[in-house]
Amino acid sequence: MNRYEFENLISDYLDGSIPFKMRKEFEDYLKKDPDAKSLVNNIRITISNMNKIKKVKTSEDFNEKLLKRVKKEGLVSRSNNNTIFGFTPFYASILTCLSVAFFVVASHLYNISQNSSVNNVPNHYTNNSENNIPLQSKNANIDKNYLVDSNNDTLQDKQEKQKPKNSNKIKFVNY
Amino acid sequence: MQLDKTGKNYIYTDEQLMARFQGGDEQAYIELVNRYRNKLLNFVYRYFSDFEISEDIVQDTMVKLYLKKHYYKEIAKFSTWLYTIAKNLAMTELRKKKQRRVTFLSQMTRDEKPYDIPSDQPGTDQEIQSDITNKIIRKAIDELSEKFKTVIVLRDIQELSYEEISSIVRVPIGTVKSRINRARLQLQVELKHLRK
Repeated sequence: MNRYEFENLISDYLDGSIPFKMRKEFEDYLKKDPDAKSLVNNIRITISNMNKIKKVKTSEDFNEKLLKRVKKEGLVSRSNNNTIFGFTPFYASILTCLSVAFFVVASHLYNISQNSSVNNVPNHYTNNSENNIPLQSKNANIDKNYLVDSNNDTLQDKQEKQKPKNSNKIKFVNY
Repeated sequence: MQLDKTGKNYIYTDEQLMARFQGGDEQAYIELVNRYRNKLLNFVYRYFSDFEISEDIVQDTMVKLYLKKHYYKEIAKFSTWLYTIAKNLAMTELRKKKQRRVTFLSQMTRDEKPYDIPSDQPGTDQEIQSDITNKIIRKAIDELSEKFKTVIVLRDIQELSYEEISSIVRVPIGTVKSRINRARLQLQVELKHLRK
C-alpha cells in the first residue's frame, strides 16, 4: 500500500467500512509508518472534538416570530393566488387590451385588403366608359412614329439588340 | 394530537408528521419546527459564524416548509429535503454576502474581518481548554472550501449518513466519501497551522 492509497482509506477505516483484506494492509502500513499512525489518531480526535463543538440554540421567541411570519407570508401568497388564467389582474387587463387592439387592427387591415382587391378587378368588368374603349382604338392613339420605327427594324437590327453587350466586360479585363 | 417523545424515539416519524401537515394539521408543523430548528441552525451557523443571519435563514427555511408543503413527496427523506432547502438558502445568502464583501473590501482592514463567536463564560480550566479547541476547530472549518465544509459539517457535526449527504449535495456517494476524506485531511493541515 502506498501513501495515496492509505490516505484514501482513512475515512473508511475510521467508519469501520473498510473491507477485511484492506484493513489488514492498512494496519500494516500504520505499523510501518508512525507519521501515518499519528495522522489517523489526529483525525479521530478531530472528529470527536467536532462532535463536541458547542451547539447553538435558536432564540426563545423563535417559534413566535416564525408563526407571525408564516401568517403574514401565508396571507401574501394567498392574495397572490387571485389570478385570472394564471395572470395577475394587472397583467390580465394588459393582455386583454392588447388582444382587443390586435383584433381591431386585424379587422381593419382585412377590410382594407378586401377593398383593394375590389379595385384590382379587370377593366372589362367595370362600368367605366373610358376603360371600355376597344383595344384597337386605343392603339390608334399611340404615336405613329413609334409604330413606324418598330416596323422598320430589320432582322439584323433585332439580332444586334439581342447580342449581349460584352464591351464593358472586355474593358474591365483589359484594364 | 399528542406528540410525546421518549429520547429520540418519536411517536411519529418526520414523514408521517409531514403527511399530517399536508393534510392541514398545523400542530404537526410546529412539531417539525421543534425537531429541526436547532439542527438546521447548527448546520447554517458553520457557513456564517453569525447567529442572527443563521437564525434568519432557519426562519426562511421553516417559512418555505410551510408555504411549499405540497411540493414534498414522500419518495425523499424529509430531513434531506429540509436540509436541501436550508443549504440552498444559505448558499444564496453567502453569495450575496460575498458580493457585499467585495464592495467593502477596500474600506476594511485585515483585522476587521468579521468573525464573531457567541461569548460564553467558562468556569474551569477544562472548559477554557475545550472552548479554545472549539474556536480552533471552527476556524479550521471556516478555512475549508464550501464543498468540503458542507460535507464535513453534515457528516461530523450533524452526523448524517452518506446517503443523506449525497441527496443534499446532489453528488454520488463515492464523491461524498472522497470529499469527506479529503476535507478531514485538509482540516488536519489547517489545525496544524492554527495550533502553531
